[in-house]
Amino acid sequence: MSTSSDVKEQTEKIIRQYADMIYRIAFQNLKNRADAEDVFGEVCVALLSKDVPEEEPHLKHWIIRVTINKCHNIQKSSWHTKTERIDELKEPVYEENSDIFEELWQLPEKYRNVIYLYYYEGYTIQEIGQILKKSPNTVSSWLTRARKKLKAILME
Amino acid sequence: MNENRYAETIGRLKLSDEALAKGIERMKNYEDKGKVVHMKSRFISIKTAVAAMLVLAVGVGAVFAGNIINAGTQPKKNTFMLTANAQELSYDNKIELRGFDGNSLSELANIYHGVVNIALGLQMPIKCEGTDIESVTYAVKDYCEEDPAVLCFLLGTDYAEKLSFENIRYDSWHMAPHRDKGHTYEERYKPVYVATEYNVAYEDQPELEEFDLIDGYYRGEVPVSLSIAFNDERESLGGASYKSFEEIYENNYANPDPHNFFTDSFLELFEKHKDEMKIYVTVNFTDGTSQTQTIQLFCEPSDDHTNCFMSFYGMLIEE
Repeated sequence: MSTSSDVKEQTEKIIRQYADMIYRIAFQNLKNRADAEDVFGEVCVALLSKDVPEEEPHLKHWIIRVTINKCHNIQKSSWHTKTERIDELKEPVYEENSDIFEELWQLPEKYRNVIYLYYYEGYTIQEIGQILKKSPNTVSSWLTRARKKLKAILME
Repeated sequence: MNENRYAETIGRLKLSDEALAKGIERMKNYEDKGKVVHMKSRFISIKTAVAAMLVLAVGVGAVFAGNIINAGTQPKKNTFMLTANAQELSYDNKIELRGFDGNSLSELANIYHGVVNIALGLQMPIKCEGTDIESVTYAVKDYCEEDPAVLCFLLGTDYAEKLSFENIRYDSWHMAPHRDKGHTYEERYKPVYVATEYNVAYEDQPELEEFDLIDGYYRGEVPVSLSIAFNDERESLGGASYKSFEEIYENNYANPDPHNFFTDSFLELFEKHKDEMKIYVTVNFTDGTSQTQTIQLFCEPSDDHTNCFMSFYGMLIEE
């Protein structure tokens, strides 16, 4: 039986392995570094839940889904809806590639997540459907619409 | 820029060492809280421990009793309830959905080449309530391409922007009456989707009170309709033109009324396909889990001849 310290050690490994992925998803969803780091902290604690799958790829899929859900929670909070993001807390990468992020952030959140999972993580449409619990048809149409909207920057 | 520039830019997004350390520390502290309590307990005296156990037993008993008392009123975590017209759907009793759109059935029925084609829209007065819910998915079995029964969600309002659709059978622009705030009907185009599934964020669920509810029926624009259509071959009507069809129903019904013919046919076909008339409501919770409840639809003749001669009911069933 795993002791608390074993679990803690294992969780730390998982956190280190997926830290950047969690942050990237959160930053693209929430548009600023401070909120993305908050989500990262939330996901770290969520990884202590007994519902966390032990096997891959389910673990990675679970982390992606929980990260997106945590982003939703922040977006729905009254604090988030009633406040403006502070420019100083923007990610430095943003400054150099503001055109990409400004285009990305014009997209609905679901499109941004699909674009990330397809173009960055390299998932297939079927796999994205499993991760987001959507049908492949839906994922495919989201991707098509997102591509059309992003054509200006993606096909340039 | 191309896809590579996107990937390159996103790849450069990295969590700072400080934030990483903070996250790990937060996780560890979360664990440590339990540990501190455990360590402190070693110093509690036997008498104190016995006293604490008694207090705990009383406390647990009180909480247990409280749970029993509150069982029917407090929504549990990761559970949800479905309501229709402000009544909770249950496994015991059928609840009248009272959402028929009020259109004359005969307007929606058609007959050609011996096939009776009947369709109607049942407005969706169903709402989901619960805690920690992220989104709700309404689905019907995918019968859209199968004859004779068809069960689809018909989504034809501006509200459709708040929904995401699965298995869209077709979408088009449709000229439809629109009721503006001044209660004046005007014609305008709006998108129509026919799909077997739609998903709505919990906080975006239609507030049915926003739509006009007159005499138990929604008028004007409604968020979602459930379209039930049947294509049924009738040998007795083989090759019939509309004219000969009129003769048939005039012969069969002493007081010719297309409503009688269509409602009888509809009820007969609904009964035949009763097992398929189900709505699957899946709630997706914020913790990534989900739960599904199944609503069985019922259709019965109604005495209310001012409307469609039929009443629709819903009841939860175990599947």
